[in-house]
Amino acid sequence: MKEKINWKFTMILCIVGFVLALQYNTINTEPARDTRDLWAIRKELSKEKKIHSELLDEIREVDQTLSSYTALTNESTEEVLQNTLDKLYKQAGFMPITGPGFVVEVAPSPESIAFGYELKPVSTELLTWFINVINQHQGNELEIDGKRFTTLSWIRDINGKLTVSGEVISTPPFKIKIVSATLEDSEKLYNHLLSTTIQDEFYLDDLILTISKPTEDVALRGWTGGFENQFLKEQTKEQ
Amino acid sequence: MWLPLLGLLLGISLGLLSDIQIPQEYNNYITIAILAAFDTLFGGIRAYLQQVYDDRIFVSGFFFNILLAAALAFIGVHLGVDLYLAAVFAFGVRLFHNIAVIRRILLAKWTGRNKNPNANT
Repeated sequence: MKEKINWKFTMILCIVGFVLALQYNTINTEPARDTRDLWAIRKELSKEKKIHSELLDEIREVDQTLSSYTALTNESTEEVLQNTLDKLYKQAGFMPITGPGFVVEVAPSPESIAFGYELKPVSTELLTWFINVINQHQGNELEIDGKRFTTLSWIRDINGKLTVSGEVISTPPFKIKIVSATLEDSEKLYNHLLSTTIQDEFYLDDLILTISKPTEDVALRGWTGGFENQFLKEQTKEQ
Repeated sequence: MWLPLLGLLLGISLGLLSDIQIPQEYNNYITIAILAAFDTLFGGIRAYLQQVYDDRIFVSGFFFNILLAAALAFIGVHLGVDLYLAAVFAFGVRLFHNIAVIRRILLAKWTGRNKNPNANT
């Protein structure tokens, strides 16, 4: 009998001890000190404000679509829906676009030609790094060697060949076209590219990156391949 | 005698080593749960010394008291009334009472006198 009591007391005391230790842990842990200075906080605030304004833009755009839906008559239904569809296609990179941008040419370096080195395709790591540098600035559209690069595109090395979404990119020289929302954005991106070490990185692989000045009209092709739709389903009329 | 203490030490070391922290908003609940646990524990010790100890009452009391106290605190938070203070008061009074009874019983045992432990508490 006494052993039974002991055992139960032990269990209960173990629980009590555990909870006590948890409480001790909670109370004696100092909250992490905020070591940001005024400028760091201001920087974060400006980042949040930027997000805020972007969200407001998006809301405005969606509101406009909504008001166009509510105002439509039977005749214009098709037109409005077509507009929305076109917009979605454009967002997804299926439509050819023309806008302010610049062209980057990837070519073998003169030294490698002079020494007669074998031409190799650009490495996937280098191209991925280049695209990451571009994506530091939002809202850019890309075309690599005539293949549109969308948010769903992928870069892979298949049997020693560089491919973008399964399509082989030719060995240099080839062109990468970048289109931004405005000419100002394009110039910003151009200056950013010049200030990074990306050209040196390409040179290490015996490649020369020639970045041309931004112009008003750079044309990109649309993505011609299909896309896999895993989650969205078509609604029937009854639904 | 040593086994329960060992259990307590085991629980404390487990809790300290686990490095789990309870969010600040649940602090009231855990405080009151600890108080309820202590109340049941000392109640159990007292009952054992008075030879009226019942296993089922002890174990069910332990969990039921903790749940009741936490529920009281929960309702209090949602009603905007500090109901947990009522539980703190009730458990506090009982805790002192139980400890007083235990002290008297132990004293009576120690001095070898067979006084009724409930007298003059």
